[in-house]
Amino acid sequence: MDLKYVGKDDSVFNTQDKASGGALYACDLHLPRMLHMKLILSPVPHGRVMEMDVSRAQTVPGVVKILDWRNTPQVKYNRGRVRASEDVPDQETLFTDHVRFVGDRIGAVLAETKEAAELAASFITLEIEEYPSYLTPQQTLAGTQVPIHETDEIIRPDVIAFGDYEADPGEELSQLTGSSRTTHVAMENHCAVADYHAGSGEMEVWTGTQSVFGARSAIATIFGMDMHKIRVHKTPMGGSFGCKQEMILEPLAAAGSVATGRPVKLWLNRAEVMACTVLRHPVGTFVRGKFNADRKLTGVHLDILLDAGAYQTVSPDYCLSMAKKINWTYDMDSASVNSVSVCTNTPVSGSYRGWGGPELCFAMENFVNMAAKSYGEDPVAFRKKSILPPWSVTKVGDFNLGSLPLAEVMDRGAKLFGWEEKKARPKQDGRYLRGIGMAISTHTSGYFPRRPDWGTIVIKMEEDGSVSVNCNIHDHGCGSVLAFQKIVGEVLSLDPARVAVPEGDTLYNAIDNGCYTSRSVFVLGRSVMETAEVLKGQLLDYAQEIWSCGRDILYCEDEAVRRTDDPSAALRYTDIAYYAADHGKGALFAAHTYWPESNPGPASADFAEVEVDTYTGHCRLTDFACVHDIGKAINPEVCRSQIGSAVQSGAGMVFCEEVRLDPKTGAILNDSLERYHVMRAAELPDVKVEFLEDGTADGPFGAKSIGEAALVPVMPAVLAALNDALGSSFSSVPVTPEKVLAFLEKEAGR
Amino acid sequence: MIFVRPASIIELAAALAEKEGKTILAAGCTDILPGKIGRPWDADRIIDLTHIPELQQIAVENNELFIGSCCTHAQIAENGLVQKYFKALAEACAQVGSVQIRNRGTIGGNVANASPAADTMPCLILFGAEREVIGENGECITGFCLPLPEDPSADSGTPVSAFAKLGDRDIVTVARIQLAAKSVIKDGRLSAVSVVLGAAGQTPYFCEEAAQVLEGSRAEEELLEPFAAALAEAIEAHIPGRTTLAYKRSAVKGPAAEILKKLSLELYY
Repeated sequence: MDLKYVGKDDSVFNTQDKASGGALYACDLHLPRMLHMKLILSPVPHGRVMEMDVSRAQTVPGVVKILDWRNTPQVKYNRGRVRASEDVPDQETLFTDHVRFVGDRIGAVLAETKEAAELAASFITLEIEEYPSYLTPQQTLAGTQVPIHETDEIIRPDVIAFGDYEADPGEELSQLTGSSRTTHVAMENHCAVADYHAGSGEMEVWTGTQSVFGARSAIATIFGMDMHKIRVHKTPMGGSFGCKQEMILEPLAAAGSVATGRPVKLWLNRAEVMACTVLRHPVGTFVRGKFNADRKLTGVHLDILLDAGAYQTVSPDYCLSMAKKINWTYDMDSASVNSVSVCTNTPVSGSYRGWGGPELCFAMENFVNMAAKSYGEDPVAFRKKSILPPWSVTKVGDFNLGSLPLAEVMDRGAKLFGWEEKKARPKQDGRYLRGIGMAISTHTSGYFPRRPDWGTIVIKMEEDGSVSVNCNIHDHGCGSVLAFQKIVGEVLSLDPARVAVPEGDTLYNAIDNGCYTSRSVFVLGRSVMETAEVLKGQLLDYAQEIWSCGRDILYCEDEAVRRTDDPSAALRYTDIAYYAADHGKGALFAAHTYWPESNPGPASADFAEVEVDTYTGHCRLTDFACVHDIGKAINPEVCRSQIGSAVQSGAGMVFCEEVRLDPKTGAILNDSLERYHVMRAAELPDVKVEFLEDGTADGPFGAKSIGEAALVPVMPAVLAALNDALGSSFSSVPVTPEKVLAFLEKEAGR
Repeated sequence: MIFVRPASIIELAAALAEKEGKTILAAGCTDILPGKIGRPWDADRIIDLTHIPELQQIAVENNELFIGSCCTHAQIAENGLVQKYFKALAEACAQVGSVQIRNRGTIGGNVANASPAADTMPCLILFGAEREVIGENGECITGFCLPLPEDPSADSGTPVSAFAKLGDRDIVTVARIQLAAKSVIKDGRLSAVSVVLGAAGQTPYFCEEAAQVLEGSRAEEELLEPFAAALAEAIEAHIPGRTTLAYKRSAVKGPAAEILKKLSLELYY
């Protein structure tokens, strides 16, 4: 099929606005009489606030109200809950006197200006009875003298298992993989604005969120409000990477507005984003795996230890999300995954791009790379003995993984990277050492069949032939709006610029699962495509009526219905729209629901080359290649950017990204971007990307997911290259220059 | 809050003489502004130093090079006189922060901010720079005077210098170790070598033992081990017991190698 818009490179619609500073975010919103909120955060890891002296704070001109746990609802909620019907542990309240980490919320100051709120907050003194604190999962597991939570302090999700691992007679290898806390570093800091009208009981909220319905549900639950009176708008976002998918700021801003009857803005600074929103989980995964005589993987057993931080939030589900992917890449007769999610007196862990996928892949691929090395086998050839064939049905969840071209992505990736040539290079010595490594993965394209999913879309054509789509879309800044415009444009043969796809708004959108599990293009994109086809059917119906002709000679091209028997005849969409209106036919309008019945796992292979400076311990990523089974790239340039951003993030986690905590208090030691290092664009190589586009998937035009999937195999590929360069066997990250030099000194001392 | 923008040294002196409570002296603002994020402005007065032509000059006067305190890092890095006589300083300025920081940040601010990791400090110490100040208590730096080396001749030799820096990463980085060295090339060998270590203690310091390793040499590669060892000892003496010691002691080999390489290139050409 010849495609006009899908598959062509296009710049995201608001790029110019963003580059020039013209784009407006939640923090740019100023409402009349709006107040500013500043949070009062716990300075201790664990304790009870006995007294809070606000007398001096109240003297600051402009201070309107001071909130704390005594004058706000004490409803317990879970920030990760998207729908009230979800069964997840409730541990968190808006504000608390039982503080559980440095950064826990005790209260908030509301003032006429941001400066007044900040000054007043700095004047508040707290008297806190300190409790013993538990800063590592091991400390909590050893028993808490003063519980962090009365219930669910430690959660052991169901064991995911098939076959009998222990009975497998194969040879067993094992490895412990660890990753540390990281922060998302979305360029836009979190901000939410809430506006409550006591008279009407209506609440309006503006927030950069991944789920307006989740935010509405949280507010309705906490304040006991009717959902139809709460309207949540999704504002343009400067990145999320998962940090804006939980309901953190919206209920707080809402509490401020309910308490004062005035609009309230809560806008965090970088240190607050790091301390009191959400960080990526520190995870320890002990992998045991068995191999038969041919060195094919036959079974695995995983023990996963997740540090949930001070509240359980999404962590138990995160464990399951890791476990359920155990049979998506490798064929095995048995697997069992034990996991435990443990609360500690540290900042809250939670959602991060990939949601367990990168964590599981990191542990499994490190293990497989280690096994290949210990058997003296080539990592690519070694994997081929154990990968799942195309169209495999996973033994966990029992669904088809789709075309799953694992062997093909490896082969094409090896070629793109020059794997054999690089492998054949003689080993260097001297100051700089180079090494190569690779990893593979399969990710998800939606909830199916783990959770019921659907996409309900409304589409209408205006009189001038332009189109408006009502869809619960949340663009993080990575171009999903443009992808949807292209999909509609392709179906209708209409310039994508003539398609409006406004973002999430609870007043107009049909209820939706939100922007999670990489489902936007696969589920909502397909829903939008089908709905546009319904609209197209209406256009053809009217054309048939006007022309009194057969349906089979009609087709749509360039914003008009045309006929094969008369190339000069054309009914422009606008003509049809006026015809329908002027003849009282009704609106050109369609509402449609699509229910996904598949969930093809996009396969990926990443190849990395790392150079280590043995004098300073600095590591550089010198080459990177990725082949990703995307099914169909709706906007290839943007998809390549997803891979690039994944490399930036994944390599950073291997080399430098780490939120360091004070070993005595759990307070963040590096809570600024001056001290928290990420990979810079100038430090990254030219990332080579190839897409496999077999078009077999049920997504629009055959598309599978990419946003999260891109990150999944990066870390193990980069770490393998680093290990190859040094001859080391690091399995925990980050591998800082200090660790590299300590390793080299130890080796030299041998 | 009062904002004062003197247009000359005279006006600056007058502004400094007025006692108006807490005063901030502002130039490039690359440290002042980030330091104020989330904090209320508590100063009574800001004196803007960026519109005083005298403070933006780089000029030879009385056998010294004067560098005005409000010269930006970018300006110093690109200046022909600095490159000719004080190459290490030009190199240090070229590595401060990012392009934006170098275009705004000034040498006076770099010194006055008094960070132990200030990139220009080891070089100013290496070259025996003197500070010019103004104000009752000398509270405002107006510039630095660096004694010019003798012009190259067969007798005096050719003055050379070099700078190397190690941070957490290769670019846009705060120094963890700085190394600045100067020497005179005479008869194809290094003589009168001085070496200054920075960011490895409260203040930069000379490292005589390391200089001795290079004295009379041709900066041969074989000298790297003893040169790095001498530097490691000096670091150990200055930050005993610090958690960063183990890394810095070992990693100083990186900047040491860079200095050796730069000096050997000077010898070669």
